[in-house]
Amino acid sequence: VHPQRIIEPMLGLCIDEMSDERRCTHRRVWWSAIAMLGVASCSPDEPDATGVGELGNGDFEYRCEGSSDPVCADPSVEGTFPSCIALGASFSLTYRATNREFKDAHAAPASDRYFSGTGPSYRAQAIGRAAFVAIHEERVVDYKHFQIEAASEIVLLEEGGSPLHGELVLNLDDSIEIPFFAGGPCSPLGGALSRNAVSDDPSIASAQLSDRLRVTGNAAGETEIIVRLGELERRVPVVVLPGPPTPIPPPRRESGGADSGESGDSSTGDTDTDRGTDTDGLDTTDTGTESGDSTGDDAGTTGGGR
Amino acid sequence: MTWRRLMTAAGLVLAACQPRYEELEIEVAGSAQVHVRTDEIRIPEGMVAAIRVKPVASGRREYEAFHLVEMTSRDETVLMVREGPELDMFVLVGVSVGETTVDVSIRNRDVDEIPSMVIAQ
Repeated sequence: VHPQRIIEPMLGLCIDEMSDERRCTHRRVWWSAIAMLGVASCSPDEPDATGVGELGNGDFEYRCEGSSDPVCADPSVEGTFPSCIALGASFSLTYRATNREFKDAHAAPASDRYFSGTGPSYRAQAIGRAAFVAIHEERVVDYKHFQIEAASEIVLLEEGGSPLHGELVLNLDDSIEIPFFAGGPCSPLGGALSRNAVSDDPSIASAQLSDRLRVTGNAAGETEIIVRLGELERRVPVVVLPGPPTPIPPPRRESGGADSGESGDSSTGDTDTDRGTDTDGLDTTDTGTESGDSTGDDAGTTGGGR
Repeated sequence: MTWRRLMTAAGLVLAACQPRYEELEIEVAGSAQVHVRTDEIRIPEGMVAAIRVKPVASGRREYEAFHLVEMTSRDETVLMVREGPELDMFVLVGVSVGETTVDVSIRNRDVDEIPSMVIAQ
């Protein structure tokens, strides 16, 4: 067997003109797919944030356990390793040694009183300062302390990333999506809390939870969306406007040839401008479906007795 | 009988060759809120501290690098004491509130015991 017949398919190459071009293309595709699968299966998912261990032998890798974790939800702190964790919040923590001598080290909480869970998912159990250790065989090769604090507020972000303080205003039939998470004495206050959102009057505005809170204006009027995060609750006033003004039709001319749609186009443009708050466009299906006005999400904390 | 006397004498000579332990010099690595001294260890529950230790001899013969110190907690459910990433380093882990004792030995010979306490935050 000619060595080229072995090497060529393994590398996905077609070296000489003797090779059948079509067969070669197929091989390339197959080997590329296999290589991509191999890479995907070998590389673990990237952490959302990393923090160097206090002894400097590696990194503690933090991953969000739900979309209410500000480490993943708040663009202003995204990717920042949290030195604080919210009481009752869930997160995932692993350890990756940079010192090859300790490559098998794993993270574990110093005390069950402060962090419960068998890893890599943990839940903050009590207010205080507590550490995770990195254990390699019987040795503790690194550690990192966290401050556990009670969340004190629910932060909702407007489009543009600034915190929402007043009321939420949207047009009839519009939907807006808002990230929300817990705030407290330090930022980011890591960890995902159980969350829930319900509309006081779903006939005016409905609330749905996905990664974010989605509010849809169903009828002109005022109502409130009640957002819950862990033990916290916030009532957000919502005003649904009747929508953009009905465009005034342009005066009709006697001769029909001149109204080539100029003014009609401009009114369409106005409508789009008024809907500037719509982050993802109008979703008529959601508007018509009122069954999901109240929705809950456990953000990975169900069965919280970890 | 002579053989036994010889062994006893050899043992006494070997013992005399060991440095005479006086105390453990302890340096806390990092700024954790811990209180670690030769006569007492006090650490808040949930917290961790790394310490560097060095035995101090009272006689003329000093401890050498090969005189490795070992530290063991009598109750690891209260205070966990583990070897650290370096030879002279130990890591103290406040597991739960309580009291215990940390035994110090050098080359398998018990030389000291340190009353230890894990306190509530």
